[in-house]
Amino acid sequence: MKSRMLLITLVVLSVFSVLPERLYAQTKFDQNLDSPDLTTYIHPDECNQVITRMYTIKRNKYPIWLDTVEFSYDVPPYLRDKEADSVGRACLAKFNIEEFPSEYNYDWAFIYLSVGDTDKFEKLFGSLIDSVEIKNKAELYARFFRDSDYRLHSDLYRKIYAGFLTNIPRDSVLERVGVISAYANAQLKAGNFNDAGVSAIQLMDEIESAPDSVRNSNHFKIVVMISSMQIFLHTTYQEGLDSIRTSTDAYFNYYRGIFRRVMNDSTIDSIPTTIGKKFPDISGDFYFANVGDTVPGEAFDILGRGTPALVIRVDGSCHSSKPLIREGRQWPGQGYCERFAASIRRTMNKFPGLDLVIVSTTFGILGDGSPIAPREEAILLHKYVTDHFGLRGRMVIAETPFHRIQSPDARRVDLPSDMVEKLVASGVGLGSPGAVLLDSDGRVVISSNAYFEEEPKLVDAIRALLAR
Amino acid sequence: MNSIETYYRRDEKAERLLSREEAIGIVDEIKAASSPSAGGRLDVRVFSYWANGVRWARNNTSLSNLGREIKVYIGRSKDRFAGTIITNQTDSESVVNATRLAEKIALEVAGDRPLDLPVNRETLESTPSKVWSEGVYNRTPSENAPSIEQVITDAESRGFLAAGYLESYAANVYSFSSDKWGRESTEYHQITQAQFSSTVRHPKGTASGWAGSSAYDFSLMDLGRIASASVEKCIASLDPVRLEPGRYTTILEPAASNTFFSLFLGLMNRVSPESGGAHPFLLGRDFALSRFRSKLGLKIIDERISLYHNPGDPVTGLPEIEGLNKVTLVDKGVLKSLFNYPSHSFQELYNEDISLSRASFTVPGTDVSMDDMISSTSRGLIVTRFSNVHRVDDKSVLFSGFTRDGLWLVENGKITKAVRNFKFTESPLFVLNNLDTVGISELVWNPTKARTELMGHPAYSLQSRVVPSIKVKDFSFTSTIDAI
Repeated sequence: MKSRMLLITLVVLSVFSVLPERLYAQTKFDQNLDSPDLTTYIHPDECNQVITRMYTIKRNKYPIWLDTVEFSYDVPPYLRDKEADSVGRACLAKFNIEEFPSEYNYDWAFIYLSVGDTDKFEKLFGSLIDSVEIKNKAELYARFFRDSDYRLHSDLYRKIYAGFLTNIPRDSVLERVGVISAYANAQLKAGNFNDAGVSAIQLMDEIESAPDSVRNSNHFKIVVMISSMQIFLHTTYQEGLDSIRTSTDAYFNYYRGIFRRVMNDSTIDSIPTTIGKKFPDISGDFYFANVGDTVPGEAFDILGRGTPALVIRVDGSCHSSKPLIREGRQWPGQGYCERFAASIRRTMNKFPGLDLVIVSTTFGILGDGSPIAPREEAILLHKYVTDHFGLRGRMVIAETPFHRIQSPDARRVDLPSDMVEKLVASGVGLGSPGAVLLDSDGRVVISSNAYFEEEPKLVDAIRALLAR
Repeated sequence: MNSIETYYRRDEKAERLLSREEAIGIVDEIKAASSPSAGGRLDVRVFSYWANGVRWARNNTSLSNLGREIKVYIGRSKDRFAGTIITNQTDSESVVNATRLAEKIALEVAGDRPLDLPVNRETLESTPSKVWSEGVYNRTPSENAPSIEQVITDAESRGFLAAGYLESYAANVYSFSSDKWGRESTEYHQITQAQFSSTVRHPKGTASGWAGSSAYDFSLMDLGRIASASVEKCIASLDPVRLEPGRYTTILEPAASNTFFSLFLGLMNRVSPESGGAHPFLLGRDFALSRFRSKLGLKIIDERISLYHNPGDPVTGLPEIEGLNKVTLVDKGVLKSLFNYPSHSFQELYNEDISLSRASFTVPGTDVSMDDMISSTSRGLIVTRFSNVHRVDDKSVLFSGFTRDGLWLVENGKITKAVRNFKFTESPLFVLNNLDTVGISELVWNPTKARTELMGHPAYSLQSRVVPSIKVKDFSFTSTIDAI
């Protein structure tokens, strides 16, 4: 032990004795700093900071400039982005240590990769992989695929991927799914759509071959959903969409089928079905009992009529400005809310006896207008829904509670009202208009967040309900 | 005879601007002409200006101009689509035609949209403007002569060439708007602006001196001092020596420091960082709140710097405008506020605290004079002003430009020689974080009148700045240039 310490000390001393000149020359060339000797700034604790910071810069796509600016305020100039790179290198050279504190291991390894020393990266990464359990192995592999760029290190990617296939056994399906998903996404990011397709097919194989005990677990379903959603989003937003379609069309059709099946036949415990259950007692702050009302009146019970009812939620986004912008020239055709409203209008024309209850929430503003009092907003909302959407029914509007971020930011963050929470629990989700069909006892017959897409299905349900 | 003809045919003694009553008359005609069945908003702005300027070059007067104009802006908007017409014909027939045309444009663009969303604007009382000087409005060409004569005589007697511009400007605007709920608002503002700038150069192009100022009133400007300063600077900048580029301790006169304060002001945008845009004031994403957070509340520049705008202060030149209250952008180096648009303010803040963008500002200084700054400098440079400033890199907010009209070397507390001009490459964030000394604040020359005078508000286009001279450590000059 003593001899080892002595050896390390000697190595460090010898490095100190030769480095300052080299570092000075290097930093002068790289940075054009005024500092006479960069090494005077660096000490081991700071090196870790530098490396971590440099790692953050290299890992994150966007905050490079952000860090540049931040650095200029609270840390010395050698920590700015480009300087951090050379300082990082200087650190690696100065403290030529390969046994780093464990929490920095991956970061240090990644720095070796970022300065182009793939051998050292492989060595460190390999030793890391050897030293951790399977779960963490998978996490490391996934991190590598997420953090690095396939276009820069394609050979290394293949090597690491091959290592992954052998290091993580086939029965660790969960781990393999996560890593393959990260790999496929990395390929998509790099524009290698064929390779991404191959990886995605492999992912499907892994999912299909999973034992039943794993396949039936919620955790597995969530992992599959997330990974499939990631791939789906990437493929949707990548420029080479056509390329994906042609090369992996069959795969994606198949995959979407699986995905939909998982979603539709959902038996995930955390999302209970509301079909057949009593619809909650919804209460708001402003009530419009009759179509002709112009001001809020007395409260009423939305289930009180004892007839079949269609409860619809007109989402706040329908009367804020954003969707209206989307109906402009760039987004031809009707907006989401308009289609929803048209669908409800058609349905109500078919079944005039059906009770229509509209629920909504205030948002403090309307369109680009200045802030508005909840009561005034409720009146205008009611007018908007009846005049613009042409929906004739009773309406309940709840005031939205909010939290304000500490000054000077002071922005408002909306919180869900009691009404919204009850609606969500009843199957009318946030973020889009939704509809719930209730029978005369107030039990949920069917609920949908995409009414206009499922209009025929709902119309059939209403017809059957009224024929009872 | 219609009003536009009477306006142009009035004699010298008549009013130089359209009166408020005349403007109201035009608005009434447009209101009567606009079709209520078209729905939507009606916005009218009646704008008139008067300007008298004298330009001289090569020791001779080259231009003496007198300008007057009316512009009537008619905006008819339905839903969020607007038709706009600008005309200077105010007779009944022209007004009806212009209004119909605006409506036609709005309707064709809007299509069949039955309802637009309300804009809840309180009816505004007209507020008296403070940015008004009878001295500027009533200024005659003969009053301009002495200052111009002084600078030309001085320059000529020394064998130099003088050039410059002196202007008196007055404008007023009456604006009216009504929404489809019949809520009406009116505003009336009037402003004046005076500017004087003088450049004196050596005939062989080996030396140049510049001085200038702009304000709402001539009483805030020392015309004699500006004239003599430009000549003195030209003399002092004769026979410049060439220095190696590099990082120098640099004293920026107010006209030069204004460049960096202005560039810094250009970053004061709240919408960009809060929507996750590539902006130096984006702190990062707050996942808990699902919001992008800006650096509001954090220290971003030297603690000796504060930056605010008080529209009630006539020196910084804006009349009282609704939504334009006093705003402190930076308080002792801490970012306190950022400009935002009403829509962003409403949607994100849900309150009326709109910090509308503006180009005027004040940076309080200290009582350290230029002489004190020079005497405390062992080796450094003095910059009169910068020109050709342009952005090099968005992400690091890096700018580049040239020094102009006077650059001197300071050695051991004294100005020793004139220096060839430099190109600089520097970021306002670096400059304002590397201050050595902050000097006395003064009103600087910045007489910009942008074309927004009609579409927006004429007051927004005035850019009056009160900024201090500053001494900056390690200011980066990257190459020498031959320009003077």
